[in-house]
Amino acid sequence: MEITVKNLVQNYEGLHAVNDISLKIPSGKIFGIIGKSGAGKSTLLRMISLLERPESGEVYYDDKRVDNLAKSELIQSRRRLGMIFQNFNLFSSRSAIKNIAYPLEIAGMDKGYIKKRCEELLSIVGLKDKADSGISKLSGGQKQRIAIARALAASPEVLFCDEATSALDPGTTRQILSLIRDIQKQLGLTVVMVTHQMEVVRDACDIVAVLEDGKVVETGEVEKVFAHPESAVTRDFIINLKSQTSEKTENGNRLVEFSKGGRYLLRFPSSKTATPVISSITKSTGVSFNIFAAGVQVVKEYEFGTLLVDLIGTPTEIEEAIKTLKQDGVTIEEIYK
Amino acid sequence: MNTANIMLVLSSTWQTLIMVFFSSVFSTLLGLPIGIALFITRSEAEGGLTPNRAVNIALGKIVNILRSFPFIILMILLIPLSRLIIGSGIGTAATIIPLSIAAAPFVARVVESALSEIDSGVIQAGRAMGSTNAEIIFKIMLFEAMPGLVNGFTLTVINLIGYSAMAGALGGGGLGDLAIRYGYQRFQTDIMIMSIIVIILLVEIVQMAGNRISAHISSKR
Repeated sequence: MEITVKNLVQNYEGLHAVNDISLKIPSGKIFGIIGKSGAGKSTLLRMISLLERPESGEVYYDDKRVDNLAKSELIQSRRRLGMIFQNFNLFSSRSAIKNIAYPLEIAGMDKGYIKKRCEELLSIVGLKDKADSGISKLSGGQKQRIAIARALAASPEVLFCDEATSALDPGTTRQILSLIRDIQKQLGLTVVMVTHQMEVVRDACDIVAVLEDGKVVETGEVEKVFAHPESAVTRDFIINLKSQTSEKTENGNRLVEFSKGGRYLLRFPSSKTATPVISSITKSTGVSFNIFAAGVQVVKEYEFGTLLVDLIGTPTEIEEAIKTLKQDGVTIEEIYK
Repeated sequence: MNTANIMLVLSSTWQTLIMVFFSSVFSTLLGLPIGIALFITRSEAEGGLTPNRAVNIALGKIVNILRSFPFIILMILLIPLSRLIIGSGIGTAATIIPLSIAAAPFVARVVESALSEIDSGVIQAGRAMGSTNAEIIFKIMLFEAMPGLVNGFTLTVINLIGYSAMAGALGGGGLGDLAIRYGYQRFQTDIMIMSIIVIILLVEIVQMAGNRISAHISSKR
């Protein structure tokens, strides 16, 4: 299901407001919405997922306008959506399997089908042995798996994730993200993820929209946004991500910090890894590179070599070096200003 | 204590049990829907499903007025109603009416407060899945609030045991009536003591049972 949002406005006092947002969320992709707290991303998600009516603007599911539905139609439309939350929001009065059964119960399915479907979902999320477990007896990761199973029970066309990994540790976060990606691929789901963690965007999303003060400041394919971030917020998110030097990702790659410091962050696309970019610049401009940290980062399937360096030389030499680096397709960010 | 007195205590205990049992049932039947209504008509920020300020304020006022009535006066005021429903204004059956009406507003507040303790995220999840309001109330909220509801119900029953002791004023019988008429007015201290012991036992048993049930529900979660 393709979701189109046109000129959405929700005017809260100050924080969390959404101020004229238009987006196209393509079918069958994982779409990330990232922003700092108060940027309006959760408000935006609540409007897209029909939990809140926008003050003005329009929301379309495929070609059908859905932001102004009457109550009974609204309830029917919500049944085509799945949603998971930061705090899981499972029913503590129900066992794990009964939680998954809930959306099927309200859809009026017969008991035999519900049982079969719930068991199938439990095995998809890898928790067959926890069927009759009470919710408080599950770990955070297990709770989110049950929540995912519940969200998928009624075969929705879209899965909304509202900070779904924010309450989880990094290892569990990666497991949950890879589960979501696997399921998304298998079912061809459209997934909309709201997050404040750039790791989530890097590890799971195809497309990203960056929000600031209720507006979209940047949007595009994840690898392009990572390679050429345009807005200050996006750069900020990416730099914070890189400076987490001890962070290990799924592929075991990390940024190794040799010593503190470094003013420029260079990012080399994989096409450049066979070219001696730095030594040729050293020769042509006379600038020397002092390397503080280095590593490889994988954004989706794209690899970026990353270096945190200082450039040593006269201002004109440095300027010349930066210009040449850019011409060679290297992204440069100045960190300490 | 002779056999006749023991029989007296036993038959009074039975009357108390009848009064407390039926008034518990009826006050819950009355109070539960009012409590639900009080909660769902709250403002959206306070978790109301169908916010309705006018209804919320009106119900709240009625509940508060009924709760502030001294029970003994409420009982007398409701004699005509008991006559209408039971056919008599006095007796054990007749006291069930004022007992139920006196306890219903209490139940309503207990239900309201139990519902307000539910994590709002859970209700939001229910709504996001396309639940109707009826489904949210009857398939989610009442179950999520169950430990609180059981504790509140236990409190109600204990309150009703206390109130029922006053029902002697309407010739309702029961342990309180026995303690006043035999123990106090006829100086039969042994009957007074027995009545009090039985009342204490009843309260203890109800409290213990309530705690057990509540703990059992919580342990399954």
